[in-house]
Amino acid sequence: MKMKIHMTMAVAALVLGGWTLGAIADDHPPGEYKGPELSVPDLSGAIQTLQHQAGKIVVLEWTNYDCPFVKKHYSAGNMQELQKRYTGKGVVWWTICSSAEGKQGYYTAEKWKEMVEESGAASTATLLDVSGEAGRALSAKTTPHMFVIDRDGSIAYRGAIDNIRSTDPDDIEGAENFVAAALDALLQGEKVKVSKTAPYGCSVKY
Amino acid sequence: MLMPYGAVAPGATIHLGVRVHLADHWHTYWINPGDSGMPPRVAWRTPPGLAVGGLQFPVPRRIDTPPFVTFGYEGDIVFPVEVQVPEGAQPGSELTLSGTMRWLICKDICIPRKTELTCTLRVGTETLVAHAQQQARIEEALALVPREHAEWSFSASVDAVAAQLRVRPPADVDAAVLEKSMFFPEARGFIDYQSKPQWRHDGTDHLLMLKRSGEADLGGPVLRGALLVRQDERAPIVLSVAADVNK
Repeated sequence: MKMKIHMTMAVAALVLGGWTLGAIADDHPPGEYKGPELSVPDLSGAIQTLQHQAGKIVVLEWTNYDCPFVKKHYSAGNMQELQKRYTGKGVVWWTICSSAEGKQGYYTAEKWKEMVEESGAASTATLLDVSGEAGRALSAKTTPHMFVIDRDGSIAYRGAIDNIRSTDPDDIEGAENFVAAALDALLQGEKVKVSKTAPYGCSVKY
Repeated sequence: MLMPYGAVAPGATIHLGVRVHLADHWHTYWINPGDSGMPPRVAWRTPPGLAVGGLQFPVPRRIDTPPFVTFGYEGDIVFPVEVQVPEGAQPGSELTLSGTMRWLICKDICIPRKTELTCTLRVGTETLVAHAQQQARIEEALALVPREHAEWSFSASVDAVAAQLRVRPPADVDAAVLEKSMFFPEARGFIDYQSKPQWRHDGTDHLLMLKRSGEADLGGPVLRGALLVRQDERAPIVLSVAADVNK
C-alpha cells in the first residue's frame, strides 16, 4: 500500500511539474503513515520521544496560551476536562508549544510550570518545541491543532478540535468534538469516523 | 454601519454596509480564512417581518506570511448586508436592526473583537438616498462580491493529489487574461495554498490545476470558490464558482 502511494505521488509530481510536495505528513492519508521521529523536551528538560510511546494512544495538542482560540478552550475548562478524561483512560496527552523565543506564546519552562498549575491543565506532559522542529515535522499549522496517534504509531486523526470555528467559549457546548470522537472510537476498538479536518486557530508562531 | 437611506419604502430590498477600518498591517478574514483565522459573523436581532441576510464577503486578497497563507482584508472594508423591509411597515414608523458581530483581527498576533451594530430605518412612502457617498461605498463593495455569471461555466475533477477546475469563459476572455486571475477556494484545508495554481489551455476550455493539501476532503460534490479576473482598463470580473465534481 505504501509503495502504491509513493508511485501515485511520483506520477502526480511529474504531471504537475514545478510543484514541490509539501511536508510529508500532509501527503499521507491518516492511518497509513507512521508518525515521524518526535523528540521534544518537557518542562523538566527531559526528552520525550513519540516512538517510545508505542502501544499507547497519544494525543498531540498544539498550544499557545496567548492565542484566543486556545483561550476559548482553556477558559471554559474544556481542554483540561478532555485531558483529565482521556489520561484517566490510559491515553498519553502531550501539550506542545512551538512558539519560537521572542514570539507570542513563548515562555520559559519555569513560567510554563506556573501557567500549567494555574490553568489546571491535566496533560501527561507539556513539551517546549522552541525550535519548531516537531511542529514542522507534523505540519502543525494552528493553535490548537490536534493529532491522535494510534497504538501502532499511525495518525488516527488530525485537524480541528471541534466543528465550531470560533473564539467564543459559548460555542463549545453545541460543538462536535472530533478528538473525543476519535479517542472514544480507538478506546472501543472501533474505526475512527472522521480522520482529518482542516484545523482552525491562530497560526503557530514558528 | 453604513445606512445611506433617509427613508425606506415598505417591501423594499436595500443594502446596508458593515464598515470595518483596520490599522496598518492588521487584517480580518474571508469565508475561508486560509491556514489560520476566522471570518466575521453577525447574530442579528430584528423587528418582526424584517429580513436581514448575512454579511456578504467581497473577494479577498491573499496574505502571505510564510509558512502560512491566509485570505482576508486590510484597511477600510465594507461588508454589504441585504435587508428586506416588511410589506406591512407603516410609513412614519421606525425599524431598528441590531446585531452582535464577532470577528478576529490579526497581524503577528490575533485579537478577538465583539462589536455591537445598530441601525434605524425610517419607513417612508418611497426609498430615498440621503448619503450618496455611503451608498457608493456599498455599491463598490457589492461589485466585488462574487456572483454567478451565466456566460461562464465550470466543472471540476478531483483525485488524491490534485483538483482541476475546468473553466469555459465567454469568447472575449482569453488565456492571457485567465493566467492573471486568482482563485480562492471556499473549502477549508482542501487546497495547498502554498502551491501556485497552474493553468493548462485546451481550446475553449481552460484548466486550473490546484494541488490538494491532504489536510481535509472537499466535503461535498461541488468545488466552490471565487475567481477574480482582472482585465486591463476594465472592471474586474468577480465570479462565484460552483463547479460540479465529475465522478
